[in-house]
Amino acid sequence: MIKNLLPLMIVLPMGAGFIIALLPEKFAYWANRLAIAVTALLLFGSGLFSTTGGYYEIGGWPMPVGINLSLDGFNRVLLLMVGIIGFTVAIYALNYMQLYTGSNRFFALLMLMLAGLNGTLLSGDLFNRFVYVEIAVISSYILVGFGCQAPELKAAFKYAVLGTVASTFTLLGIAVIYSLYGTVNIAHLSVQLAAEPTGILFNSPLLFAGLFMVLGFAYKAALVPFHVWQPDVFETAPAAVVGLISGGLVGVVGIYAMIRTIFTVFGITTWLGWMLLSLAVFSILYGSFKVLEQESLRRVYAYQTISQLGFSVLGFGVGSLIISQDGPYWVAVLIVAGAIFHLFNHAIFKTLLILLEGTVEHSEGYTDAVNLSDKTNCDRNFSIASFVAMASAAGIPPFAGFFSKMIILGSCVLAGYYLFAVVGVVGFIVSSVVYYRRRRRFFPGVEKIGGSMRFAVGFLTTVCLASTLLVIPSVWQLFPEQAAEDILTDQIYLEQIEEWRQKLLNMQLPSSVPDNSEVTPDD
Amino acid sequence: MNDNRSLIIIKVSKWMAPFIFLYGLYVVLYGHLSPGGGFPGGVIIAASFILILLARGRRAALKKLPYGVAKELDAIGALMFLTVAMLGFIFSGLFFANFLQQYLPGETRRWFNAGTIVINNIAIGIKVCGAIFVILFFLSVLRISGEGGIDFRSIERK
Repeated sequence: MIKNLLPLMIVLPMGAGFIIALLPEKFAYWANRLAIAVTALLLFGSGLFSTTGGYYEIGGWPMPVGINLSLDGFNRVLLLMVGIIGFTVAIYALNYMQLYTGSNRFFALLMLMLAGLNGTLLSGDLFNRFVYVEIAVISSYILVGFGCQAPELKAAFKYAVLGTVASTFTLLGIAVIYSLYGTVNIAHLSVQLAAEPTGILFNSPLLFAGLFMVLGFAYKAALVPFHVWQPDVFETAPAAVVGLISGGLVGVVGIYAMIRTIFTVFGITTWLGWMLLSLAVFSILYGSFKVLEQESLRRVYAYQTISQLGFSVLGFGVGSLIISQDGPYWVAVLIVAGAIFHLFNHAIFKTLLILLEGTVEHSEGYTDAVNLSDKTNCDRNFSIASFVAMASAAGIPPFAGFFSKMIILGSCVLAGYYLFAVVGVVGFIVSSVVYYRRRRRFFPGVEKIGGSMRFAVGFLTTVCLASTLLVIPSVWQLFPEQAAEDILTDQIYLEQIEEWRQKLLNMQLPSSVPDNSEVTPDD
Repeated sequence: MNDNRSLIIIKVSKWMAPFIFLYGLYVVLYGHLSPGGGFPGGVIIAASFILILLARGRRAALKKLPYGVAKELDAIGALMFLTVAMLGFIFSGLFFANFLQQYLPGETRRWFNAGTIVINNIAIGIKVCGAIFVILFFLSVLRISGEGGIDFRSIERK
């Protein structure tokens, strides 16, 4: 079974990371090749798993005791996303990281970060997911401060301190849940919490745990009250790292972990839906209006990321409101599928934009809009890539970014939440203005750009164009719609519980028969 | 380095460090039978080196455990752990399966009776020892200049 190879998605990058850390600096050539080979394998693996599902018990230990890896529709879309972004960033970094010393360390940390991201996606229990989140996030703290200049260290320090506080909140929430139910397995918890008679809102320890966990993950996703780390990190970190943070980390460690916690563990309720919506509305409005006043391109992308992820969370929030208020189910599936599609699209086009910005920085040494406008020559290939990314980000019709936004806004209207549709349209228009403003003077001719950076940008542009194909109905059913149905119905976790019950029944039968036979003679 | 270190501290740390090291080894190796395990044992082993580092200075500690070796122990421990996990995958088809248990069951209340758990404990001990020593060593070494910026190169050479 192909499912048995699931642990390799975590083991491969982690092993490669430690092997690279072990290699001395003079083997940097081979270390880089190893890293790229592993990311290519991960991309291949995520493609391989894109049609399967199921769960894997590590070490053969059964469900509530042991650790398991689960793969359902939602995971595998994001697994593919992390695969694509990881592969692109590793290839891009081959030339880009020549600006810095110690490329071995960079690739070792990159591998650990990918292991953490894949682990976060696959892990089927809360505590293990927390550990994988920490692996990914701590690697990113170090990668952000990789240049070791004062502004980078300042951003990394801010990110690390606030991130540790957020992680502590998450851990506290998990501890409270463990003390209440004696388990951290997501499938087991979802059954026990669903049987809770009072509901979450009136059960104060559970409310406490839920709020703390959502707070911790919302911090990682940089949604609005918790967004302060992101602009600094985006402005100072190496472009390859920013691409991975914007494309992989924020979506996986923030949004995926938060949505999985809310939808699967706590169940879909009205007040959690409203909480998601309030985060989303503030993120969209604040992020998109803040974009207008930024001079540095990196900060523009940082606030763009906040508002685009707000869009995605808006989809999830409205979807959970529809489900909890017994609205039309197909609209809920449509809007959640749209939100997942938008998460995927955002990762692709934002990483492409950031990598393109990195090529300018690598070649010219500056990215201020003022300086760039002096350049008159124009690099044709990079201009096309830049146009594709910006059009997708701004939501121009034939590109994927348009479809995902249209699906989210359209289903808001279909479900009768007109106010959220208006908020979405306002954010959408305001944040797109930046692209129209910058389009004319954006892409200068770049010299001294290595082949690996060109290849990475070309590959990601192809993916960005190809992601439009996801709206073809048959493909749409296979990926985003399947993902939405799986996250709304918790399909894979219900299967786990069912199989566990079967096992328990099978175990009790042989032992209970001799007991009865011994008891009856006494009577 | 600075000569005003107390003679008592230097002597006592010299005597204590081997015993702390030995105790750490015991905690690692008997982690599956008694309280302890890879992580606490590794921390105790690292503590024996850190005692030397605090009492007799950086140079004496590096003579016992060079920085490069500690850094490699960190990676080797992790790789060893992953290798044991992957061997389970190869020999019994399940990731992290205790594959030694079926071939070498061992006796109850004897040292080698838990299959791969002992090996995993040793791997974690190596990893934690290296990592904790490296962290403490860095804390003792790093100076951040006013300009901002850390000179990693100078550490590599030591």
